[in-house]
Amino acid sequence: MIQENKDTSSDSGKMYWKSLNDYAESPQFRTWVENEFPNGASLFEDTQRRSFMKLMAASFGLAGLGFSGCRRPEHEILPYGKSPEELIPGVPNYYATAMPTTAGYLPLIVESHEGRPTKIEGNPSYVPFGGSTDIYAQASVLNLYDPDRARGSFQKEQKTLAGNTSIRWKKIQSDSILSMLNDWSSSGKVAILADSSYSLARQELVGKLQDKGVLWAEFDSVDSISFESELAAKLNSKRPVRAIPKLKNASRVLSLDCDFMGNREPYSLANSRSFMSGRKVNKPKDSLKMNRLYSVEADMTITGGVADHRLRLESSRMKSFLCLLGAEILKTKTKNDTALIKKFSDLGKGTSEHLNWARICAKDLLSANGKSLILAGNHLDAETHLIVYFLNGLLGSLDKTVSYVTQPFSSNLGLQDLVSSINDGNVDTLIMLGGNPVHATSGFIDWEDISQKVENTVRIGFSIDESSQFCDYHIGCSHYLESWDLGLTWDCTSVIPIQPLIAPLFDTKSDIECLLSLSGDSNSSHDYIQSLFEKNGASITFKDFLRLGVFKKDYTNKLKAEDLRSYLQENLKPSVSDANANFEVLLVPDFHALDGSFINNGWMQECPHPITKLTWDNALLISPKMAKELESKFPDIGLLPKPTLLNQTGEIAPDNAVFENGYQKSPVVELSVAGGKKIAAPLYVQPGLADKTVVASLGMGRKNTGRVGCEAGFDSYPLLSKQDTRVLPVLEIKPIGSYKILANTQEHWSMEGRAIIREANAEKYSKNQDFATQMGAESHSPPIWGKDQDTDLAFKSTTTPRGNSSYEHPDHTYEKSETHGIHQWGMAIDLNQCTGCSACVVACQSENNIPIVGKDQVLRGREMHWMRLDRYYSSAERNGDEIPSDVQVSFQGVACMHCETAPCESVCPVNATVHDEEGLNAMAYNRCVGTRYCANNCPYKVRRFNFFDWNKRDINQLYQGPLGDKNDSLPAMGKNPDVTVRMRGVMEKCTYCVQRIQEAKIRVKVKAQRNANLATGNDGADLKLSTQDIKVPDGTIRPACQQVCPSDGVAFGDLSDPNSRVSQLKNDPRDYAVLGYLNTRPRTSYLAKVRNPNPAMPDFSDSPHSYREYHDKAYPSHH
Amino acid sequence: MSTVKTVSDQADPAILGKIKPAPWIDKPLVENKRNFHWVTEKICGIVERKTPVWWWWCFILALCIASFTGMGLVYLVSTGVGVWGNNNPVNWGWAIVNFVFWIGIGHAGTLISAVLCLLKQKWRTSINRASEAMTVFAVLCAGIFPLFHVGRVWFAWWLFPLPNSNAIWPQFRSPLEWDVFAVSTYATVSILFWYMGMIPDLAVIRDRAKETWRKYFYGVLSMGWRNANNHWRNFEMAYLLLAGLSTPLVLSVHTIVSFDFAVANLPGWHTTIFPPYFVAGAIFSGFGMVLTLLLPLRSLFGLHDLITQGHIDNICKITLATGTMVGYAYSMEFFIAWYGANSYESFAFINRAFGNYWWAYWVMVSCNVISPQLFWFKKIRENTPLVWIISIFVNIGMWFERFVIANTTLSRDFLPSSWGYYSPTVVDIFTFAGTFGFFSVLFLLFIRFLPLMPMAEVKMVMPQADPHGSKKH
Repeated sequence: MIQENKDTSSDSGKMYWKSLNDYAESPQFRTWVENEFPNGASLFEDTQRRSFMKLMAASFGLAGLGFSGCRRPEHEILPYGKSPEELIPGVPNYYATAMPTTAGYLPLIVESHEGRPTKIEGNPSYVPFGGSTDIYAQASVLNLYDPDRARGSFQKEQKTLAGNTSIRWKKIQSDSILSMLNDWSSSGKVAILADSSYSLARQELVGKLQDKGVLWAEFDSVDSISFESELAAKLNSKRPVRAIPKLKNASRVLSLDCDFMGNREPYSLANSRSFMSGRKVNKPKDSLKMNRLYSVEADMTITGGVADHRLRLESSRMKSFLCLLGAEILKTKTKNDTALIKKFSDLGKGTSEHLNWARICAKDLLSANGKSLILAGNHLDAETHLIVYFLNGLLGSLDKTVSYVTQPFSSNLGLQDLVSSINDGNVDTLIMLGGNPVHATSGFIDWEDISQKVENTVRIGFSIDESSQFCDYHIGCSHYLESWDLGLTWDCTSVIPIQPLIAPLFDTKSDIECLLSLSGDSNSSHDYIQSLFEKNGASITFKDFLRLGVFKKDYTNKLKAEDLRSYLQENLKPSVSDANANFEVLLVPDFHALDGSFINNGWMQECPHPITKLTWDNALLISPKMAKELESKFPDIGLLPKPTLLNQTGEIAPDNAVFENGYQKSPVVELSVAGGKKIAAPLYVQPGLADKTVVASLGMGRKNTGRVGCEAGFDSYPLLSKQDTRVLPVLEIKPIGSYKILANTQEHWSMEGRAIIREANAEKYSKNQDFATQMGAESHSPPIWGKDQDTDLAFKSTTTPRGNSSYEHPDHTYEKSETHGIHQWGMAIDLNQCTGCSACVVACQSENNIPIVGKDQVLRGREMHWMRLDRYYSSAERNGDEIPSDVQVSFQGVACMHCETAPCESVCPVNATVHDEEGLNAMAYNRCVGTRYCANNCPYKVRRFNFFDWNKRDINQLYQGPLGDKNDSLPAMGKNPDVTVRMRGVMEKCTYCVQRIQEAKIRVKVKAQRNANLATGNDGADLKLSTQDIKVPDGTIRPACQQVCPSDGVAFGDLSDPNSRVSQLKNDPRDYAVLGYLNTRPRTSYLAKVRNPNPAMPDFSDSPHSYREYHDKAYPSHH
Repeated sequence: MSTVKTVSDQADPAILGKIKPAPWIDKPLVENKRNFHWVTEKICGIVERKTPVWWWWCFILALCIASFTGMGLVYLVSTGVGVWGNNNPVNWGWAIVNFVFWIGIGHAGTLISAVLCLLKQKWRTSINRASEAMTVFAVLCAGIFPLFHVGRVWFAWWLFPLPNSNAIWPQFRSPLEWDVFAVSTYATVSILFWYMGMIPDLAVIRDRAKETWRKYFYGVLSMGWRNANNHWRNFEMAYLLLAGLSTPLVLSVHTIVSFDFAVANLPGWHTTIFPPYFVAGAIFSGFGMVLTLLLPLRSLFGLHDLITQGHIDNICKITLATGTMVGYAYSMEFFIAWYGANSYESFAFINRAFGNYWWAYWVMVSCNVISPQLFWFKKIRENTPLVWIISIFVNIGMWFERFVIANTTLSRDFLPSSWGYYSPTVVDIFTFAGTFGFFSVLFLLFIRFLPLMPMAEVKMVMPQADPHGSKKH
């Protein structure tokens, strides 16, 4: 149950939480104490409240040990006095809604248990996403239950006592703030600074407010669309121009610093889905039809990880490279336009060392006949995007692989416009709606000065953050799962509703409610949204709209094609730097915190960054070459491996180098850019980075945040001097002498030549379809299935083939069991579809009540993720002493494999982990005593042990045991009631989402019984149900990892059904079992990865690096 | 059949006259021609004398150290296994290392009392009681770790096959389950053997007792022993039977402990060499501990006539032999890893020697393989302080052996993505250190209140017990 705020309430950040300590420090209180207890007053000086409580708790505990302590804690069950309609206790309901993001509305279906939203899924009615969601949507349900969110609305009480200014927040009614706002707005001069939104409701309300004279400005912490308006100006469009890629049609893609499948670009879900569908290899011959990705990037992104050819290039040189490439395209397309070719060639001189790469790439793009596409990152300037538009036109891609459209939202005033209005004295009341502008602009806007010029400041925000600290009032903003709204997707072709799953938990208001109140509209937000939807001429009823969650209506207009030749000829300026330029810093949104809004989200903090595998921190990523340079300048910095006996023979370098006793110790440096702006941050050597690029992420290191994110990472916003310039030249990097310990979940970089992820080039696979089974130790030994080798999959999964083994081993099959397993569950993971986005990690966490453990415990190797994403680097240069610069990245999602002959089962002394008749390796938490032998014996290391009471205890006080604080009860509301919450001392692991399996089985059985009852009139024991009746149809059950996956990389189903998708995938020649030689016979198998490099390219290698690593190790004599 | 000559036919072969071998003289097992009375006075005197001051100091110190274990375990059980350094992938850390270490130490006691008894090694008599005590106490220390390393110790009884309403039995395929039986059998038999052997001596102390509490205390313990002939007959038969029962236990317990590793499929653990290698190592470490304990006892109580240089020589030689076996096993592991052509295996062993725990490996090799080689030299065997120091090395080395086996393998197994590193926490260290205190407390109580040596058995191997000489000339 929710603990309604006690009076000391809003126990979140230190600034607004009146603890007893705070009281004790105030002079009034001290005076009172001294008057009241003249002798005891000093008690408060030395004894902390907490330590006093601890001491007392210990003695109470001892006193209670005798008799009184032996009772079970009392719980109250509150039954419904009046049962809500459509609610069956124990059966979840699902509602369509959407998550508002800076990249449009993300259509969702949300699972609700007795009124509590617990799990977020994508809405398959929106076709481009196909029912997938991104990692932030998955994690956003935790924000609803964030104990540190603004639990109500507040008024600031600023007190200056003895030179110390302390800020306290007093709780007041949100309605009273809103009515105050109305009073102020009636006297005029109101300005609203809001985050950008795709809300149609907001758009209309803004119009109304603007009519009333309200100044409306928009601002996003990380601006990913500012170039759209500039582009529009050049392309003669009134509205901002947007490129919507249609990657499904593309067979050759060049990505220019564009992480189009990662968190840096909007629409990444649709991009991942459509691009990866072009990499599906159902038959060996398909591999020749695979699309090909060229990636030119400064950062090492997951998109670059998928790339077939990857060129490391500094962001500031992207335009130069684009010109170099453009010249090559122009040479083929318009031979006579020599002036323009010359212009492009001249501009491309800065990157001429990559001429060969660009030339062959250009040739390949051209050869695809309009099925090619160039994409540019949103941090690149409008001119770059203009050239990309031009070149896409030349390639014949417009309307085929990309459509340029004008989007319906007109550009609003920006922050700078607002600031000048304030400076002109045109604003009395400033309302900050959403976002966190004060924090994001700390580097270039003087908020102190602004606060002098504005009379009233009101913050409407989700938590009390930096922007709230600037304001006098804070209206708690409702979570989207508590609000009504209506908006558009990124491509502006679908209208999506936001409907609340739960009434606001606290006294909070949604932005629509606030704007309604401001505009004097007395409608409730629901009525307003309904009338707005109906007014927009929809052909379906509002109710149907809410059921479906998507209404197709195209709000975009096609852009009129422009010939840019003369424009480019005249206007292109050589603003591009060359190879000898200084270091640059590239600022990207942080993986964990996004723009800062997810910083207090434990799931996001603990989800390892897909590439660096860092948790709870960000780092300044630098290239190995730069590390070398720094090392020579500062010999004591300690960034690079010291050669050891072992790493001269193997590739053990990185962990021996960077990890001291398992802890990654990173030197902290001060990085400064022009304008005296600097930050201090730890360094992390990242292979695959452009030599001169330093990557810093925006969003971490916030000061005014909750208990989860308060120590996470460093803040890079102070480097910004203009909001949309995210590539800056570096003035200096110098170590400050201190070190920071970083929590990295994967110490080791290389696969050590082991056949774990098996990869081949498309060419090779088309010729040798059995390459995957010809790798690994098992390829040297007799087949583990022995004489049963050629039996079909259904046989192998329903029996435990003995092969030629003369040893008996226990038969887990259903023939021997009293109950028959009519399904045989299995999973296939297509490594060729995995981008590494990590959404599955958080989806699994959300579905299965997986706790977070905190940075300290991650450092100790105790993270609890059931699904983890392994990342391996492989490289052509294999010198154990050196960190390679050019690497290939391979990802592998690993969860419990549900082995047929599971090594964990045979070693558990208490039968806590057993095989069920449907092939699941079941874990009986109640039976587990925690010997951890199963985890040791698991070759895949997927078992997770509850070293502490993660769920019960505050993660900062784990070591205080029963004397530590209990966890806040709010996040417990988000737990999935179908999954046990595990206590300390027990082992846990992936269950294939057994709760979903059981639910589906029950549903199918109930249906079959009902049908049989109708057909025969029999009931109860007389009902005879055939196996076919109670078999769950293929595709009904989707584990959380499969459901979230945008690229459809996971298949789950019944192996005893030869037509199920998973059976078909397992009959694919690429199918292999990891560590198959152990004869564990895992139910999860992998489909080998296929890369599609261009043989003409200078960096072509006839096999992926990891394959060559394997080959060199397995056949050392073949050199 | 008259053509077949038996040995007795040629009891004095002609060649003997020619080569004139030096007469074989058994060194007396009790030196300085001590008589029976002296032995009784010496052994009983230790128990009967006023408690020496050093004993009190040692006892208090040992109690303090033992309290570390107590506090460590209270903290562990109240808070969670996380207070130790264990992690994923190293799910077993010091706890299992300490368990194997302590259980290994026990083996020398059983070997001395049972195997040497069956082999009629008379020199065993003066050291077997203390060694058995060492065994019992070491097993008690060992038992703490597997019991408390589990996540929910309050359910540890589920490992015993007790009938229950859920009708769930333990899983008999698990080596941990075998451990439960192996170790509990071992503890039971060791305690029985130790106690039974003590009964005649306890009766002696009872008979000599003057204070009433002593009369009752030792009276109860000696279970009505009257030195009757049929008491002795039954005693000797029972002793022989228990010796016979214990002998396979010397081999089986550590074999089964080694199965904890060998039955797992991890590279570096999954090897058939483990049972003999573990047994040799256990005997090695046990004899090391015997030396560590007996040499100070010998000088504290002036037992030089009972624990002679000959005894020390013998123990040193066994240590040398088993240490060399262990060394052979180390090298054979490498050979098999190479010969087996399994890349995971070969990596595991290269990694042991040169990887993240290389220092532990070389501590192990130098203590276990190199240091006992010094026992080849008589001069060193006769240098008691040096022998004692080497015995400490043996103890250290054998602890590291278990550390190396358990941790190098777990920290670097199949998938490099999950490789990790293990370091113990303060709680680990103190809990382990405390067991030495616990062991010392028990051992100090033993030497204070129980007969340190089997007086009757010692007397049996003295020349006086054989007045007519059993040997032919």
